Amino acid sequence: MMLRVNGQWGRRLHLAIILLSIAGLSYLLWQGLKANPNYQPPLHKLKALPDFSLPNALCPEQLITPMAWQGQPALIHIWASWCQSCIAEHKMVQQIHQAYDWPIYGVVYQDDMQMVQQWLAHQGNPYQSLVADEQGSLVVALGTLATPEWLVLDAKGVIHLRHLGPLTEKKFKQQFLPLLQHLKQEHL
Amino acid sequence: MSSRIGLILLLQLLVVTAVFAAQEIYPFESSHQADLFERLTKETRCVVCQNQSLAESNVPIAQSIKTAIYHKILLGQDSATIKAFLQAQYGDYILYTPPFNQATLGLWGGPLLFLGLAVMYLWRARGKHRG
Repeated sequence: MMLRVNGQWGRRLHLAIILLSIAGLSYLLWQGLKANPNYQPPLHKLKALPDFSLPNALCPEQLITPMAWQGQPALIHIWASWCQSCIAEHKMVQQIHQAYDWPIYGVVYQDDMQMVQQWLAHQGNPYQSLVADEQGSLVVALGTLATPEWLVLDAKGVIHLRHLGPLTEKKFKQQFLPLLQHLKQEHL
Repeated sequence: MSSRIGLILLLQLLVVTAVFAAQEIYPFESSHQADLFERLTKETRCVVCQNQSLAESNVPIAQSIKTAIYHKILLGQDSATIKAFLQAQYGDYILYTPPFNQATLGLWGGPLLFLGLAVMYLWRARGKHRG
């Protein structure tokens, strides 16, 4: 190339370049083995609620729009009655609802509304309002991957935090509560 | 022999029903729209099962994304607009062809760089051999 190195040093240089290239490539491939191939959505990216108008799961004649979710910081729980881990965390959702004042808005995804109504009638309804997203239009607009998923909203309907999978009490106390309180302070 | 023919006929029947099923779920007004739908769902990845395209996947979220694409096509949106929407929701991950930007510079540029180096190396080696 630019510099011409001949003789013994030239050969050593070549060898060094080749070995370094192999080492570099091996390192990259090794990292690739350990990398998570799944899509990981950004959890803290601020995002406004999408526009929607969907039936209330408990009274389908009534439509719910994002306006209904504004006014104070709140939680959104995206779930379905066919989703085992959603069913499993229902007790905890009830506890959060009973222990704290934060409104919990539910989104039921691809579900039979009669099943949902029966389930809530038996187990109690912690949701201030419950949207029926049968086609998944809202779920796609929110960028949700799977149920259950939790979102933390500020008073203006901006999503501040996304939590994939079942929520634990520890996570709720450590991450959700401080954020909700902070968002309330900001709004005042 | 006749059982083999029977089997082939049966398999053909399966193929035909599969095609019918695909058409019935997403009825389009024109073949242009149907083509766009097919192309888009093949060029996008199922976000929870990375080795399947949206077209191949049947998990709930893939069905919902396909339904969203379907409605957007019926609204008359073009391929670029729909891809931009999907990218905004699910990141570059959803596209099988990642865009060229700072983060993917190495991905797109790497092979070219190595090719360039190899050509230069061969050029030199040839020069030496002649000299």
